[in-house]
Amino acid sequence: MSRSREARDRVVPCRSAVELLGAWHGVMVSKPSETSQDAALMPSSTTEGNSEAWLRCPECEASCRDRVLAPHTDLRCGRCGIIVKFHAEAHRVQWLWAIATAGLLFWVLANVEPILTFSVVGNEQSNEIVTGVKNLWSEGYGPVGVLVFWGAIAAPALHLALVWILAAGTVWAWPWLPRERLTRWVEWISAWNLVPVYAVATLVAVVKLDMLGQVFWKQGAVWVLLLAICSLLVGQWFNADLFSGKRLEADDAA
Amino acid sequence: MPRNEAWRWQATAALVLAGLILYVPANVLPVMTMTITGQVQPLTIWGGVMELYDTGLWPMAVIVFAASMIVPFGKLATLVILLWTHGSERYQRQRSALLRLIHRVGSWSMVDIFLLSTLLAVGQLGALASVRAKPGAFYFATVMILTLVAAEIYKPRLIWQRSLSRSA
Repeated sequence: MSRSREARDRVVPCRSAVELLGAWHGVMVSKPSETSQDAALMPSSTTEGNSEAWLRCPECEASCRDRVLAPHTDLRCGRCGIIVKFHAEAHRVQWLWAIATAGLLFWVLANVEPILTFSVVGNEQSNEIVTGVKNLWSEGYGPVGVLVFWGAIAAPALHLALVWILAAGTVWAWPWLPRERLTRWVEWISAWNLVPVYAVATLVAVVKLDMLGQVFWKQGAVWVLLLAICSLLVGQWFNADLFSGKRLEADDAA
Repeated sequence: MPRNEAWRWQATAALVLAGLILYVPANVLPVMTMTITGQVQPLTIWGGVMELYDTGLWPMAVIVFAASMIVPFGKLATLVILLWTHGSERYQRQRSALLRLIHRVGSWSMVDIFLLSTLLAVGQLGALASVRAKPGAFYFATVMILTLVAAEIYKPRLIWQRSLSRSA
């Protein structure tokens, strides 16, 4: 691929460029292993005509001129200022994979072991995440129970599992994986991974219960905390660019 | 290819309006009642915050206050501002940042629902201690879902679109 200097310096009005090019998939991920800058500049999307010179901002949909990125830098949208492209290293996918694996294990443990025990005059009761859901349901607050089940149990598991599948599929180069669809799902569902919120709520619950009786932490609390940390890290590090189809092509070429 | 996205403004406005209406019972009605040794104590969202504050645990009170009072109201207020300024070309960056912010902090108002869930789970000790969910919880959860869906429907690109009329 060759890009002339004139083309790089040309200024095109944002909106018309969006409509003309629609360069949604023009994201390029450069690899750190490539030594020369020219090699890093080479996107594997050259087959898509002239769309590789322009990127579409995921936030405001303005067209942004693509350029070569030095390590640890990013390209920001000139209009709204968010990151359009960044220099990604291969180990970021592996880290994400590792954290997602750990998170899934913690999820299992957090859901089978009791989190805290409350006792008043010798009468004792302990809870798992699902106990609250059951009680909300039996009290006639089914929809609220469903919300708790979704936010604290189902969505975190789906979130971590989807990230795991995406990362595994990228590292092992599964050709049949619907990357773009899965990436969209992950971005949607990550907003529903409410385990960190649940961890804080448990802390508040302990404070409240402490006024009324004796309350003890159980092992489950540790797993919930670790699951919350993993969820936060995955949410923070996940970036759609890591899993674009272009990434796989670049890996194959190497 | 031009898209007709006027429905997004209308749907967001409808959800925010419903959220504002339900916000009143969510805060006025008790979320739960706690019965300890025969004393029935109804707790509203605000009452829960004050109870934490009164026991001297003000950091905890601040967290719950931020998550259950500031976040839901701030979210509704922000969405009203975004809908109000829709179509204007001023402060686009700031408005875009506001929308990102409510996406990020929006789900923290679930703290109260999870708290209720945990208290319900362990607060079933017969006459010694019992915790019951009350209708306020239902309204609170509804407000939370309505604002979440509203923020999802109102896409950031709408802030940056020009000459988009409010009505279809």
